[in-house]
Amino acid sequence: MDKITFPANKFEQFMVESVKNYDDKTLVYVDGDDIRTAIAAAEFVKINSSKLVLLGNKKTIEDNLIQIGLDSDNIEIVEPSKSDKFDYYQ
Amino acid sequence: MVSKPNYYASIMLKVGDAHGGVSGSLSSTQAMMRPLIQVMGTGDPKRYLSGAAIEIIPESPYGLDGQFLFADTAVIPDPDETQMTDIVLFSYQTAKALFKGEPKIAMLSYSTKGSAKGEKIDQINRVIKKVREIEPRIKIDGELQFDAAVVPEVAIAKGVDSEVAGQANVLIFPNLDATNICIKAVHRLAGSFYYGSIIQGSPVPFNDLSRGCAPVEVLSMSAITLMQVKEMENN
Repeated sequence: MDKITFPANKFEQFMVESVKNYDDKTLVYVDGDDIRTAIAAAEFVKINSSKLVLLGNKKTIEDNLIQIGLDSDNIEIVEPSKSDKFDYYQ
Repeated sequence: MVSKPNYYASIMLKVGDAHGGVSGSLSSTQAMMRPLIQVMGTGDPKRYLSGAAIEIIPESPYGLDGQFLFADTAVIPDPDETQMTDIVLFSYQTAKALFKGEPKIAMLSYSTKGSAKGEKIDQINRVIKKVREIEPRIKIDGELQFDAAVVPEVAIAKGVDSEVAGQANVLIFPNLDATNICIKAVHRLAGSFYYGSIIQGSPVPFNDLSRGCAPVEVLSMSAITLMQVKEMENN
């Protein structure tokens, strides 16, 4: 599995400072069933407590999260075609 | 359509169920941009989305400690005057969100301050005039060759005296060909850190990664998206 080195430069340090304590937001990830998204999410929850919505196949995402050991209340999995909001969004 | 994640995400952003979005690690740019344009656009049919990239060039004395914003990296192949004006105005917003220092915008060309003539050069100068009228606090200059924009000694040698020439950190290119070639050349030849594409002009940040991205790029784009959200809230 890819290991993340972050922050790796002054700009990334500035990113961390900028988003620290800016927590009550929601970010949506289109490619939520990509393992790279899960790996990034595992690191992001260490610096920010916003809600992360991962879109995609629920089983795939759950397997990815288990594989990387991420268990966070800030992660929400949404499978668009089975979402409660599917009709509302039509 | 809603079953497609890019459409679903665009609608989430449109209705306020999410504040920012990240796409592109599996999706193509087209698959991401189409719903973004259809569902949200810029919020104003007379304005245009564009793309930006940030590059950090290690050990570089130029720009903002080696930091530059490049635009348009993703959307408009050959911008007209109105489109180029939007590229500048939205790039300024992006730089304000992501820079620790003041954005200084150079309109790049093969000419410096009339050293050559051409329709594109005239267009660039009309854009500069328009941007100064719309937003006088923006520091912008052009038309400038790359070296006159970025290297203080060259700016002096070419007789350009401004707050931008030789100090630019936001680089606006005349077309998508030039931007795309430059960002890739800088990334490969100078070993820069690359962050993009940052989509500009959308009322809610929604950014596009490369399909070849590493997890750290998903992570940094998440932070960039949140920084854009923060900047929009503060303005």
